[in-house]
Amino acid sequence: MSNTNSKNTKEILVIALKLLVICSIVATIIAAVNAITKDKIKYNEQLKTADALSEIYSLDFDNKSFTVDGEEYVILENDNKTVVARCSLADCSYINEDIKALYVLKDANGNSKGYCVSIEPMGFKDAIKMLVAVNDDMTVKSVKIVSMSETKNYGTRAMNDPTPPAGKASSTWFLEQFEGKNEPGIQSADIISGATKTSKPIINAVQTALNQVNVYNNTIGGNSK
Amino acid sequence: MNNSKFLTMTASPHVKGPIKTKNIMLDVIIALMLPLIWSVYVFGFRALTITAVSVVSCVLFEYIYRKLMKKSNTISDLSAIVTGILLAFCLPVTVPLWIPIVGAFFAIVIVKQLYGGLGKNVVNPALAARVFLFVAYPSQVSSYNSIDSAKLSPIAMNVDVTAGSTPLAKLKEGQLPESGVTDALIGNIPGCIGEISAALVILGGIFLIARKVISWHIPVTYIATVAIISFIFPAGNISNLDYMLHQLFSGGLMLAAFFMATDYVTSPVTKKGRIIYGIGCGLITVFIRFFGGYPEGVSFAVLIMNLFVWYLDKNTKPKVFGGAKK
Amino acid sequence: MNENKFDIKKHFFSSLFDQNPILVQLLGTCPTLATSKTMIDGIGMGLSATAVLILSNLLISLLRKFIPKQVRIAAYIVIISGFVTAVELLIKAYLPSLNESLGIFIPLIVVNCIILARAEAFASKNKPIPSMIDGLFMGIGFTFALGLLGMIREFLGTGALLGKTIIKGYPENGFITGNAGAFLALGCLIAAVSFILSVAKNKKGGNK
Repeated sequence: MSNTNSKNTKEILVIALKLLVICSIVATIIAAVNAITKDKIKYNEQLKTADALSEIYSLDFDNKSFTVDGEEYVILENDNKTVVARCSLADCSYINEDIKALYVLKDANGNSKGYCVSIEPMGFKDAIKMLVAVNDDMTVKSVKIVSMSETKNYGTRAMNDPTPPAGKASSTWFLEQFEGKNEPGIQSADIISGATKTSKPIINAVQTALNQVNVYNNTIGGNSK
Repeated sequence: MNNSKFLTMTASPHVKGPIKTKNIMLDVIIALMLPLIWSVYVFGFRALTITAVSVVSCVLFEYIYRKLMKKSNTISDLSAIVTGILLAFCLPVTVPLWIPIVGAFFAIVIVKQLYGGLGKNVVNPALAARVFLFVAYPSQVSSYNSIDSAKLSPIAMNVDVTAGSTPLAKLKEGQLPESGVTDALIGNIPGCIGEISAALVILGGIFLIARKVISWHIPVTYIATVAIISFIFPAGNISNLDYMLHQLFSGGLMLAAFFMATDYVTSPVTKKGRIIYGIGCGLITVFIRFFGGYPEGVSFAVLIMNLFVWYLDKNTKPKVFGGAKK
Repeated sequence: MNENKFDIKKHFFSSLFDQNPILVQLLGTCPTLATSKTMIDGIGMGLSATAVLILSNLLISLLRKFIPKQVRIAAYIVIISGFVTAVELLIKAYLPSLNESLGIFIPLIVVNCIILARAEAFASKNKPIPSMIDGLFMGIGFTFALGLLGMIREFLGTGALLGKTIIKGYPENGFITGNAGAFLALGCLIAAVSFILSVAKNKKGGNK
């Protein structure tokens, strides 16, 4: 009896050791590939951020980035050489889980050039990826939808409305109506007829983004460098 | 050797009645003529052109497919014509002329013929094609002109749309539509070609019931279910009666209840099965209209219930009389 | 030596046609349906899965005498997921646009039945070089089917091929580019392939 018992234990131990060896081999392979690709992946992420922001700010991505005091800066250039810092969670806790990132824009002299909030509210079908650019005076500079998968011809009219209702000029009237507005203007925004479940989250998201910038200013200090 | 004629053997049935598929289909076509005439009166001759394009495409696709696949020619049973008319009736008059052609291909070749032809399709071909077109080309198939807009060109491939919303869309937001209940009943409302006049569709349906082409079970249970639930749960501040009547007379409910849900191939055979089927269609229609993302739910409702028909038939089989106990 | 050569050729054509992993064996249909919206996406997914197939078949074959029988499936999965992770990191670094379009389906290659099936059926019983070749051929068959399906769906859905518009002004068909169309297109493709294969078989039988 004890013989078969110890034989069983020995068998199990051998199997466990063999699995350990296999896992170690695999882990080594993954570690090696990770070491090779780490920097390039980070660069690609920054490029994505820069691409998204450049749509709102007409900036170009310069292939440099650096870290100062633990804050990572990605440099986007236009004529005045703007520097962008991503606000890390430790500095300003995001007030809402839909907020993915708060970007603080400054120029090379440290003067504030505004803010940009990346927010992803839940639309009718799926999350709507949006960017809300905020001016220094706490009014909305512009709202852009990066991606959405809403119902065609209903929710998608938020980005492009081929048949705008009376009194609205362009097919992008829904997002344009936020420009220059602050809280009361946002709350009274027009929804898209027949697409409430897409319109309301977007309107609320713009409001949340504004609130987030306010919170950041109050806790960190806004215009001071 | 003349005796050979008397010694021919065939399988039963040996005594056949005069009713063929063709006659039934002819009755259906007649019943659909009144809504078509009204539609031409309201929308202009484009309604007729779209219906004609749809019918011709359906017949052509069926003929060509059967010929290519070396099967028998079935266009004389007129079922392709009925599918063509019903498909056109589910489309707004503003669709480009190529839409019914693509829809006809989907309905006849994919939904009907790929499964084996008449009698073997699982879902209603016209409705499946309507849903296909709606998913494939949503912006082209969901534009409704307002009632007062000018008549559209009958032969232009594409036409301009002056945006208008349908009564059902208004109801979904909890507001009364601009047109009244009598307008909806007679047919002075925006909508698809065959659905605007509830009264004429109901007349056609009663004609079919009188001719014993369809039985009353499915339409009555379907409409009653929608009526009862709409009456009990109106949206917004609309009165119960108004809300119910608008729900019944706007949109495609009457057309679906009398002409689509009653399709022989895709509806149950037994009386009990039909009643359950009608109630199921009504429930799903109401759920989609009230809680779903779309203001209209009849096409999805009937298609979903189509998928349960085999189950309903199997479980509502009448008891066999006189068999031995197992 | 001659027999070996003949085997390779036969293996190649059978992986492509009568043993095609998607169209005949019906393995890996989930990523097929999801990534065949365009030809590039389909081929990208196919090549990524092929890379994983070759590498995992190689390692599993090298370790085939070492892996204990009782835990072999677990061991295969560890090895396959290791290579999927490696391939995913490489794609994220050097092909970010492919990463965007394939998204979550890259890590899902781990549960692609084709890879586990070849590991169990071939790599665990054969030498490393033939295992690698088997992985390559099955991967090519997979990629071929994906490319074909992607070509059909992209062309009928958007009138474009490989991202370039072929028919100007083609109205985009949301059904074909959507999930329902994927099922329908795959079904029609499987039926067509099945028909062609049966005709070929009849011809072969007839000529004897």
